Amino acid sequence: MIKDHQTAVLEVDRLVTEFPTPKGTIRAVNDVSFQLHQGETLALVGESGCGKSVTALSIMGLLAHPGRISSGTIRYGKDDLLGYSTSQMRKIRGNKISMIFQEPMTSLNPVFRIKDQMMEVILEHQDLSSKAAFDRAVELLGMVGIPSPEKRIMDFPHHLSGGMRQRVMIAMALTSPDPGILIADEPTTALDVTIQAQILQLIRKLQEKNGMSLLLITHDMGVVAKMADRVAVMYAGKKIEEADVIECFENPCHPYTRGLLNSIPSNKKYKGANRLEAIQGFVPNLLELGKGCPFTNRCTVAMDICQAAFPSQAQIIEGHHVCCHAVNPTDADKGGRP
Amino acid sequence: MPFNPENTLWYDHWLQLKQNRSALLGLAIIGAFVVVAFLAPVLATHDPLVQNVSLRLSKPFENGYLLGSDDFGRDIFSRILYGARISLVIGAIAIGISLTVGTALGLISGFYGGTLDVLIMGLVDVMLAFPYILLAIVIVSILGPSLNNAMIAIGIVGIPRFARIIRAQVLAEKENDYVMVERSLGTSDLELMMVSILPNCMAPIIVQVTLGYAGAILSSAALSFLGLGTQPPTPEWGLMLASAKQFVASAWWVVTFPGVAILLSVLGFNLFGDGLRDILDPRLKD
Amino acid sequence: MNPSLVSVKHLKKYFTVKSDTLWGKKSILKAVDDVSFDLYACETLGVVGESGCGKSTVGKTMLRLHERTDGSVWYKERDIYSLDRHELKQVRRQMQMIFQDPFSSLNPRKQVRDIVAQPLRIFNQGTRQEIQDKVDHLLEEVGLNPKFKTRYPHQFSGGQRQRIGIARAIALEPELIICDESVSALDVSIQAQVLNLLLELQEKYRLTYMFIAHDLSVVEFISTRIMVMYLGKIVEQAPKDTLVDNHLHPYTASLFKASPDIDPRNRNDEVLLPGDVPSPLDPPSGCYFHPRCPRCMEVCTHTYPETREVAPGHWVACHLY
Repeated sequence: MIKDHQTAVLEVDRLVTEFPTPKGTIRAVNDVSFQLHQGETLALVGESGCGKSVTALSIMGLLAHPGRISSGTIRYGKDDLLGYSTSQMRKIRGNKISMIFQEPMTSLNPVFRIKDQMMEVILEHQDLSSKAAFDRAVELLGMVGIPSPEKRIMDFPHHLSGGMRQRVMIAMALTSPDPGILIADEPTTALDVTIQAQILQLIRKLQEKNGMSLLLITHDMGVVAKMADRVAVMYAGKKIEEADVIECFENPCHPYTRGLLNSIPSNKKYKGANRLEAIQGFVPNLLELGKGCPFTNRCTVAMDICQAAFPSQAQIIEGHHVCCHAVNPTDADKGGRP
Repeated sequence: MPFNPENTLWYDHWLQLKQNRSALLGLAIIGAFVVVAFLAPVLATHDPLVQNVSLRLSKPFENGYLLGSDDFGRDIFSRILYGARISLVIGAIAIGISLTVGTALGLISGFYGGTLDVLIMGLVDVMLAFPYILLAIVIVSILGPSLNNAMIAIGIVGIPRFARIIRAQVLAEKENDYVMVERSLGTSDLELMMVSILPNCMAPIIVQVTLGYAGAILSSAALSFLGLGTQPPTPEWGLMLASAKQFVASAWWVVTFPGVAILLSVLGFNLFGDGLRDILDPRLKD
Repeated sequence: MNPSLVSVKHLKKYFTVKSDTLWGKKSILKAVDDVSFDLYACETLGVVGESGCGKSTVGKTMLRLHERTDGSVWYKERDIYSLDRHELKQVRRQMQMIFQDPFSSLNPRKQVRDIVAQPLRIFNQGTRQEIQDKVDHLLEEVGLNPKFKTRYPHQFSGGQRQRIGIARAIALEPELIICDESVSALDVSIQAQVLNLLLELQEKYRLTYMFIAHDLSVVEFISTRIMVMYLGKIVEQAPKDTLVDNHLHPYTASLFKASPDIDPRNRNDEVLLPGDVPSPLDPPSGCYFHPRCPRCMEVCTHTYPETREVAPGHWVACHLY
């Protein structure tokens, strides 16, 4: 496996993505920065509405109207993707940066055969004859573990099961001979557990084989534990903690990260217990966020300052950063544990 | 218990509507149309029925006629104002007929399904197989030409659309778990249909009412134009067009102004209806 | 063990499905295929399985929200399929359901107070004022502020809406609540709150739960007994601890293996269950699981195994045992 934790292939810096609505402007992604390194898997974790999917769509340049990126940069190699024209973006998408979505039912066009949809993507980015493109499509389907790919390629999407469709989506995302980055947005959420395990294993095998970087967007800490090298936790549009995966599960520092891990019933500590340590309260309305930390209203260790200002990022150990006043009460970058 | 309108889904819809300029324009036109209809006696400069043959076919702004006079020397401006009243009433009654009968048929058809559904939808399909205006003409011919019969005919012709829209909505709504919950609690069929399901079908119904209103105004004008609707000397826009058609070349104002009135009112309802549809029923947008 | 509250005997529910071609034949989907089990008072019976295993259909058929094809459902010595409309209404008062989708199970055009009051109103539980007081009490019981009762469902978050559904389900103080994927659509942190709420209510009102879910970790946490389903059949049934520590059926084993562990140090990459869940329209011959089973034998390909009680309360349908 090629893992080079020095080279950032994708660098998101102070990204702000907004959605104007009749009731006010929603900041779905609010000042989020992270780096995706060569060959690694970075999991972007959070619950619905935390902005993880919007971050992915911002990177891909696929924000739906009326969403807009109001500030920040998304550096891919030397270039800022936000400065790219639509046609430049189209060359990057599906070639250098690909994306697979949660819903394999709706991501494929129901009126075209798998063959047509795959060949279209291949011919868009590669200069091949249609015979060669067809062969490449069959090869890719075989690679993602679809049995008798030369027959299945003639099928329409509704002939395939959910797991098979997700395999087709992965094959379509990997048509390029050198896929740099794969963004997977909840790739297994709609699938049964036994199928989820198959798909996760497939993604890891492919990653080992071609050394691509994976940005995995998920709400499922079990998937994170299985897949990620590093984890960035998001809450209400903010990145609140970022760490190596083992550090994240064994020494979570932000009260939200801790609460999230405690909310999982399969947590070992609940053997024989009859209550979970749940986070109280609800995610605040994104329209009514103040200047402070958005988690304040649910936080057990909230202080006065939490209402007033969002905490700056503190380093716990190398590579483990957290934004919490309780961790870093003086707001100076000294490190230390709560 | 205070009822707070800001809680309802309708309030959200209103916020969206305020953003939609063409819908607001449509709403403004409809508003003006209703105001004119109500205030016709105040705004009118002449009695719409009084003839003054000596001043026939006066040009606009001539002899005190704002928009000129027709071939009997009646004030076109006043006739158009009174015409708004008639159009408003025709639309309301015709739509009222389509709405009540169509809703009832659609609800029953969608809710019970089975043979009843096949029968009702069969009838609706047969009605839809005839061109809209042709069916209206057939019905008026049977009932005899008059304003009342024209309204009934337009109302009947509008039934199938309402029935189909509501049936489709009921079928979708019936799949929701809340219907199953309420049914499992022993809610009666009538309560389920009227209290639970029908309010959730309001969005497409309201859209169809506004768009149907435009259609009703147009159809009534067409029927009157053909001599099958309102009878002279009632100041009805379609009738004004019909009786003035031989002057198209010589006196443009006699045909232009009633035509513009029809155009504006239909445009108003269509703009508003389209805007509402975008908001209430985004699936139908394309 | 407590007395049996509901007894399901050889329950079958078949659906006829039209083919997708115009002149195609109708085929039969055996959503629930000869299922028998008991539900004991005050327990939580967890039902797990993947999509198409019929777990939701069992719940709905038990409440007669679907009519059965064959078999019987006994509630306190009475077959609910022999009851007339009036008797059924009285029985249903004791058996409520909480659904998966908190967006579709609440009528969007009704105020919350009307939604929660509806069961009380239908069963004439007092005057208007008494019912409104009860609604306030119920909302507090599920952790919602009664001052929001004039709001509409869309103004609440998914977790709050699920609480409204729970308030409606406990309004008539039922004995049994069937939770059909009731926490599956919720975020983890909200899911934990709702699970706690369900446990609190169970202790307070001595409720019996049938908890249907695809998420093994949730079922494992909340249940006292677990039943595993595959393609309309029960493959294994046992008290929770027995099933967790000593599951026998190969399908149960692969479910446990596939559900992700939240320990990143434990990334076992062993051989996974191959293949897809077969369509219930056309189940395999013999044991339905045999094409995917790592321990398949010759007999499995042609004969469906009988269900045997291998230990007290531990039932398994597999030729290995």
